[in-house]
Order: sequence, then structure tokens, then C-alpha cells
Amino acid sequence: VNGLVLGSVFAQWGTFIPSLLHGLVISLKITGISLAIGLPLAVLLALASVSQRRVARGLSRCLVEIGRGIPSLVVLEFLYFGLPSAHVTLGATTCAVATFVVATAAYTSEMFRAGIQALPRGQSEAAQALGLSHTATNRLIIIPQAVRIVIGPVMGFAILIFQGTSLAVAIAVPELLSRAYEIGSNTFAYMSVLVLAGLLYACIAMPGAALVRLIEARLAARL
Amino acid sequence: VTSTNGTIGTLLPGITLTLLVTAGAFVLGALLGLPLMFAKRSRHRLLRLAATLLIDFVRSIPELVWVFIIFYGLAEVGPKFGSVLSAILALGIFSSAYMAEIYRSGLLAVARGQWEAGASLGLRRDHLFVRIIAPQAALVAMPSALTYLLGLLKDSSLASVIGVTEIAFRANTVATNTDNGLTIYVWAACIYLGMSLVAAGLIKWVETRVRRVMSA
Repeated sequence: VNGLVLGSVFAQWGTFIPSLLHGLVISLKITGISLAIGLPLAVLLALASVSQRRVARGLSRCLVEIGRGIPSLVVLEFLYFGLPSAHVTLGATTCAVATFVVATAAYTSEMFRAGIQALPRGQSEAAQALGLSHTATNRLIIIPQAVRIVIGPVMGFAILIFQGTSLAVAIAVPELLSRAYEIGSNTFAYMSVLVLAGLLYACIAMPGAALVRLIEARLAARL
Repeated sequence: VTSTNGTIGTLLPGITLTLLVTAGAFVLGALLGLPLMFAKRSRHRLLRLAATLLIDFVRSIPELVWVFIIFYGLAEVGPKFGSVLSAILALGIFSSAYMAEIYRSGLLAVARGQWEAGASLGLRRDHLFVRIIAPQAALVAMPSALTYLLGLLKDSSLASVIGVTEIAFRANTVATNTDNGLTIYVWAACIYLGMSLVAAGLIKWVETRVRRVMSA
């Protein structure tokens, strides 16, 4: 009997897979775009947070605290359900991307800041003594070294963002979880399709986490 | 939800459920995390491997997927939990994997000499663990656990998706039924920010206390 049940579950999964894979691609795209925009913003925020200008430091601190203090779901729904009352209407996918850009910028900027502060002060002093400009020091000396320190945590965060894209179900972006939910409400096979969706998330997240550990071990051995 | 105007008063009653889901999930995660941690520290290789895989697997499935699996999936094949209990169970299961890791790193931070000193004093291993090692590990793990709790406070908003009438749900109700969407979400954000700032302040206070105790 168990074999039969399992067999029929697998047969069912076969019919679910194409739609879920389309959803997975959308989840991955949202992740990629959010990181591509959010990470550079995070570096800027991090540089501002260690800047000598007090206003820049304060502003960066403020933005990061706000970005980290508000649940992403609230940001997402604010953009999608809240903004229209101010006559600004954005598409669902745009709202999702904007939400994860905010999360990426706020959370990873703290990682970058820690990375920059982990560098010995002598690095920037030596660069200045060699006559490098402030911008050149950041671009050539500080950022490349900081990136090496933070690459592990940032990659770990990228996996969290990938998992977080499931929040977009709340505003019906056709990503992985939305599709699973839709299939569930059409077929009443909620358990089966949700477990399959969970496994698909795990298929990306588990090897991703293993890769992060590998890279961190490699870098730790080299530093 | 009876009141649906765009003022903060509509949201405030939701704080109770936000805190309930947060606390419930944290307690469940803290309890379930214990056996996971012990399994991961076991002398049996197979048990260790199983615990490692389980922890990684639980963490690799998004929290909201856990919420859906418990609320929609389980209801279909077995026990039917209400939305509040489903949210607590789902977030608790997810948290257990993180808590296991937090406990483990706390234990790893306790100096090896503590084990050796206890053993050389003739303490039984279980006594040694409970009386000497665990209190120190708990102290070390406290800040990370509290930081995780702060994260859970925000993640409790996921419960709104399955109809728990906490803060985010109430904001959503106002936004979809009136044209006060903008203000209500700003209020919701303020409540979460306020709670986060208070919690973050508390964590900082605990951290300095822990550091003082550990260095004494």
C-alpha cells in the first residue's frame, strides 16, 4: 500500500513539476535582480557608515536600522497595497524586487561595515601615504579586501533572500510558493505540492549552504 | 477585526498575537533545538550525520513554506491546527534548527579546560555538563539567542498570510478595504520598529552584562 501511495505521489509530482519549475525560475530571477541592485547599495551604505562626515554616518545608520527593523512582509505590502492610496501603483514583481533590495542593502551593509572595520587601519594610512586619493583607496585597497572577508556571510544572506522570495505569495507574484499554493487550491493536494515546493527550495538552498561553507573554509585557510 | 480606520488604534490589539506567536515559536524552537544539539554532539557518527542533515534540511525550507505545509498541508491529511497554533508550530520547527546551532556554538565556546578540570575533580559527566558547562554555554549563547528572538518578532508577521489577526494582518485589512493603505502601513512599520529598538536595546544591555560576567 505504501508503495502505491508513493507511486501515485510521484506521478502527481510529475504533473506539478513544470509549473513549479517556472515559479522557481521567477524566484531565482527576483533573487538575482535584488542582489544585483542591493549589494552595491549596501557597499555605499557601509562606506557612508565609516565616513568621516557625521551626517553621512547618521543617515546610513538610520536607513539601516529602518531597513532591518521592519519585517519584509510589511515593506512588501506597503509597496503593493499601501502606495496605491498615494496614487503610486507598482507591479507586483517590481514591489517584490524593491522589498528584497531594501532587505539586502540594510542587512549586508552591516556585513560590509564589519569587513571594512576588520581591516587594519594601516591599510588606508599606507594608501594615503602613497598618495592615493580617497576614492582610489576605497576602490583599490579597502573594498577588494573587505569583499574577501564578507563573501561567506553575504552568500549566506543571498540564500536567505532566495528563501524570502516566497513572501511574494502575499501579493500573488507567480513565484514558486504562489504556484504551489495555486495548484493546491485547484487540486486539494496541498500537502503533496507544498512538500514538493519545499524540496525545490531545499535543492537550491542546501547545496548553496554547502558551497558557502566550502568557500569560507578555503578563505580561512588562505588568510 | 471590527475597526478598519487608518489609525494606529486599529493595529494595537494585534500586538498581543504578534508577541504570542513570537514567544510560542521561540519556546518551541528552544525546546526542539535541544535534542537536535545533543544528537549533533553525539559520539555515534550516524546520529551526528542524521542531526546535521536534519538541521540543514529544516533550515533550507523557507519559513513561509513551513507555515503553508502545517496550515494547508497537515490540515488536509491529519490534524487540523488553528492559524495561531499553525504559525507557532511552523516557526518553531524552523527555529529549532537555528537554536540547535546557537546552543552548539555556545558549548564550543566553553574552554576545554572546564571539562578537564571537572573530570579531574571526579564529577560525573552529566553533573559536569549540567552544573559547570551548560551555565557557561548558556551565557555565551544568550546574545545570539536574543538576536534570533528579535528576528522572530519580525518573522511572526508571516502568520498574517494564514489569517492570524496580528499587526500585519490588521494593516492588510485596512489597506485592502479603505484608502488608508499608506498611513496604516507606516503605523505598522512604526510599531515593529519601536519593538525592535526596545528589544535591540535590551540585547545590548544583556551583551555587556554577559561580557562582564565572563571576564570576571
